[in-house]
Amino acid sequence: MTRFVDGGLIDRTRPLAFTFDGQAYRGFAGDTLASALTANGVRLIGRSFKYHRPRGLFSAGSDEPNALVELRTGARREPNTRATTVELYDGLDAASQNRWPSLDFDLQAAGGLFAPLLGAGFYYKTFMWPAALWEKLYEPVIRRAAGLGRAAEAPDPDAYEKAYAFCDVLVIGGGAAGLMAALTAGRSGARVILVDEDFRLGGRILSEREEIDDAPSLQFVARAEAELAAMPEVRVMRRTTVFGVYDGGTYGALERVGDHLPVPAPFTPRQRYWKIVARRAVLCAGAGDRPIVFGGNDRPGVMSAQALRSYAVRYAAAAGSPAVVFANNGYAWSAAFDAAAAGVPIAAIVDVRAEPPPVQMERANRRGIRVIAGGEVIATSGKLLSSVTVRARGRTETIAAQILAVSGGSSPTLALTSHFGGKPVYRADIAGFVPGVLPPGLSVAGAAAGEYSLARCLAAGAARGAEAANDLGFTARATPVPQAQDKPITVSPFWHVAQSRGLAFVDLQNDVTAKDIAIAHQEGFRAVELLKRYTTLGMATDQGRTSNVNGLAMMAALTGQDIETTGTTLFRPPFTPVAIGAIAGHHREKDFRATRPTPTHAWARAQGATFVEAGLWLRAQYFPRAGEADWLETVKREVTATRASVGLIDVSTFGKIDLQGPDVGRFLDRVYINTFSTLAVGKVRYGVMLREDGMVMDDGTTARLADTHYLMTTTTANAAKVYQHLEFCLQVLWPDLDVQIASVSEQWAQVSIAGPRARDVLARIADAPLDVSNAGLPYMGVAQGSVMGGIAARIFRVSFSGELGYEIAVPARHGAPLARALMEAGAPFDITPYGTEALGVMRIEKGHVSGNELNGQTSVADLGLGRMASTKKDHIGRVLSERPAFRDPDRPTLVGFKPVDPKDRLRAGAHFLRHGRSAVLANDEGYMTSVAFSPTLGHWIGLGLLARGPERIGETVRAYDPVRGADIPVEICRPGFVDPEGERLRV
Amino acid sequence: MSDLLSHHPVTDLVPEGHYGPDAAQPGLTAQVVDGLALATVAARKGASGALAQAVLDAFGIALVDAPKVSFLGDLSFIGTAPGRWLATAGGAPAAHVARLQGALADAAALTDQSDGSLIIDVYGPKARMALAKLVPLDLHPAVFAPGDAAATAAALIPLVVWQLNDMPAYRFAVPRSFAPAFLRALVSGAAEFGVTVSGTARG
Repeated sequence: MTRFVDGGLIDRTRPLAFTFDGQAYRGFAGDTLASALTANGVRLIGRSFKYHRPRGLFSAGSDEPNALVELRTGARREPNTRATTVELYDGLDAASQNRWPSLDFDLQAAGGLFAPLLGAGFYYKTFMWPAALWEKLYEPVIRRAAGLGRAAEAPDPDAYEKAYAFCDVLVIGGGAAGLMAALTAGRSGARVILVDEDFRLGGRILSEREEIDDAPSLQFVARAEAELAAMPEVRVMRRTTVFGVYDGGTYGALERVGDHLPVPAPFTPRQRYWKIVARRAVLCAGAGDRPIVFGGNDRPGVMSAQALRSYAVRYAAAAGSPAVVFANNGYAWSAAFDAAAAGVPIAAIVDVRAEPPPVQMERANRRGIRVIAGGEVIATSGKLLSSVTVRARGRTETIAAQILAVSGGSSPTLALTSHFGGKPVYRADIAGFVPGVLPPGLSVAGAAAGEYSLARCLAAGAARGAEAANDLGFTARATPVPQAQDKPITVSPFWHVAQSRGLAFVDLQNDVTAKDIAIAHQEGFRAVELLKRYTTLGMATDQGRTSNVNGLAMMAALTGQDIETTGTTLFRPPFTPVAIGAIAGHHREKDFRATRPTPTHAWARAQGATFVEAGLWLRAQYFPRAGEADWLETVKREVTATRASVGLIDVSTFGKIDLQGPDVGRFLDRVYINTFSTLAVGKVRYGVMLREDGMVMDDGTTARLADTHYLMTTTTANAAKVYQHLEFCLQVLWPDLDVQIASVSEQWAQVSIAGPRARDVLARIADAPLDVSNAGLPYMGVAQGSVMGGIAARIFRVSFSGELGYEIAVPARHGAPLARALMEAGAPFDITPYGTEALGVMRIEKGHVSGNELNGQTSVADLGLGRMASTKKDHIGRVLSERPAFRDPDRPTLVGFKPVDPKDRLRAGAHFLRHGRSAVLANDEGYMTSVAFSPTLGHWIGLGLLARGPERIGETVRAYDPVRGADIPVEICRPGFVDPEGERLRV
Repeated sequence: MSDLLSHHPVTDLVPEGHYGPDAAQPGLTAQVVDGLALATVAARKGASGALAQAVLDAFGIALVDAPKVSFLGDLSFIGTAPGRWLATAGGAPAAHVARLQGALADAAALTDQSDGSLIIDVYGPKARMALAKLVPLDLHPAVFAPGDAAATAAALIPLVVWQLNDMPAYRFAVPRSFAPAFLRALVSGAAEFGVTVSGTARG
């Protein structure tokens, strides 16, 4: 057991049981998985990504590069979680990853023998040739070797959600600076949100034995927390990570609501994805300890100096004894002193500086800690660290140690500051990068700004918090500030022990070594962005938080440039990984998008309809009856019944736009290619509208209900797009027009009845004095009145099927009653409900174009509608519809097709080729857009776009469909297989 | 997806009942409101002043051209866009439209929308917290108060919302076909606080 008998911020009265690789352990409330493993003497936690080298804990925070583990089992299994950020709970089940057959003995670690071969650019160089092998051999092999951990193989049983929050001042990080920023801004009355990724506020204070105002600093944290909790306009969000900075002061944050529980509490999500809109933000994210690059620096037991301190002070644990400290700065010394006080024997402090500051020497002396000044660690040994070899002043010495605590200085945690492109700036005095140009509204305080020392963090937090609040008109005071006595530390830049033995790792997560940096340099990948991509330095979950600075400092040394000139790469969101499930939130599976039921949905369901998605809508696709073998049989019945007598379909999903005002006619003349200002009141006209580029945008019918009142219908798919287009035209193109529009798509349920007996059915539900006779309501007429004994209705005599047809619109609440009334009225005529399939068959039989033809690539001429366009007026898309390409007589144009052998089935998507021509793109003459089995004709029919199609009626071409292995002769015919003269429409 | 609703058809309104932990008092209630007539009122070109005058003369309401509610008695004008309002009142749609038509026809285009939207009231002590998961608006009482309105989107659904009182109670006008999806999103997020759904049985 390596848990100290007392101390630490753990609750020894609340033991927690957990397992790691099947072995049972115990920890305490307040532990992380990492600290609990440490307390149990577990030093080997994982295997590295590329070489499968044994690895232990490097850090105690979210910058951990090594200790990625799998949590939980079954559907909740979750790979690549940093053990350092996992809050321990009773029953936690964790496993190491990237090892086989066991963590202790890993076969792929033999790859380590070939490590010299797997250096930078290995894949680029090795798998170049022969190229043919790439898809079949190289890529599968690489994919198998790549990746860490295993995703769960069952759907995630937990819920995730999104939420919005708003504040005046967002404080990111709850350490000394963040607490002061939040307190200062909060006291001014500003709305403050304080976010911290830990489950406990305090930041580094929790891991250090410092004093504030002459009392243990934890008392300051407790007071601050209490004061913040008492402020009504302050909200503290623990277990929450701000992962990105976005436009308009928006910050993305992930709250781990239930990650610290075996399963989330009832009715609560696992995680919550926040969009926080803040007028100002203060980044107080602290700084991370930087490794030093030397041979054997990845051995389990080598960790950051501040991690040693965190485990010892906060968690009362150490992963072995004794510890050696290897550093170039005073902060590491204070870590050693704190660790010693907590109970970790310190065998030696090895400092690269020949003459460390006398005050530090004196402190070490007082504690009886040996100092090796001017020393460097040149080797380590043991599968788990057992000794370190130190060279100092020409002498080499091996010291027994289970922990080697390393610090090359601090790196401010500034990732968020570069999300708007701000490049970090190098400061030689602290040998680190500090934030450069900041995102609008964001300021930085404390260690994140390179302001090291507790005293400066407290003051800077208060100052930035006050500035942020005062900027917004609040009155905040940055003083007085609680006092701490520590002094800024001194650091002597040091990156790399060049003369050391064994692989020296720069990036632990990606297994990038000092040698890889040298290879990149040698091969010309010297710019930092190239270095990153060539070596993978700084990629993956930690985004190089522990590795970037060393890597570029070493490149700077190789190129002879200074670090400032060498520069650094930028950080992108997210700061730490964000689960896709959290981004999706509520919108997954059936809730991915809204499902829109039609007004008759429940009625259709009761009729046994099968439904199909049409955009967000769910429409009845067909209404199968007992004994029907398949959908085709059902659809044949629906079509035949409709053409023979009468059928019914809900067409409420069409877009409906109400247009009012004296200028509607002029407006429609400009929007449609044909003329609507001349349409008589009580009449309906089919219209086609173009995009500015001349392509067809949408079609539909528009009715004139009154002199200054029109009603437009659009296709289901384009309902929102057309409305948006009309708004744009009115607001931007012609603001002078007096036209008011309103979407009434949802207001009106619309049911279409079609077939020779349609009028008989309609007459039975129409209220007097509504005249639905052929004279009273002729083809392309609209009547307003009431049906079903007083329900307001609009009746449009239009037809998509080619039969005598009416569309009856009633307020949406009456949609289902209307369907039932029509079914009842139609019973004597065997009225048949039909779905979108039968509708599609009938419109193809009739030769009407639909979505397959209005595909954004067709002009009116392509669709055979060119003569509709009025030449007497201008309209949107007119100019560009006269482009030469549109006038090319070889453009594929709409025609109909039928198979030469009536038994052949047509396939949409088949391409047309002249007989005898080879099936190559150059010979392509167009393609089949829509096909259907025509019950009326007894064989398959199709519509398609064919070069010079209308001139070639009667010819045959090949319909070539390599995808489904079909190649059949088809005859070109006029589109319009049923009632081409339209006599049925007018009876 | 929350287990709460996974077995319920996505096309139907969430059934009436209590969702979430048992509690003496629900954190909030979502209630489908019946019997409200709706109409869009869009000012004719250059007739904003005339419209405001006509509204004042006919109904005694000072019409505000902003995302605000102008109301007297049960007649409310909710600003949804410049020069555009949603007018709501109790009673039958035809009577509502006729009343508006009679007073405003010269200055505005009127369109019956009584069947276009479902009116859903969300109220209770936890309404604000629950709506923070749904509505991308700052509902802090200092920012959004009774009489404030917004045309916005929630759970990818276009809608209009306005605040009725400082209980707080919010009223949503949700396009009819989106109402099931709106209630699913609302209840999934609100269950944590305990939410009672009512008025959905009438469909």
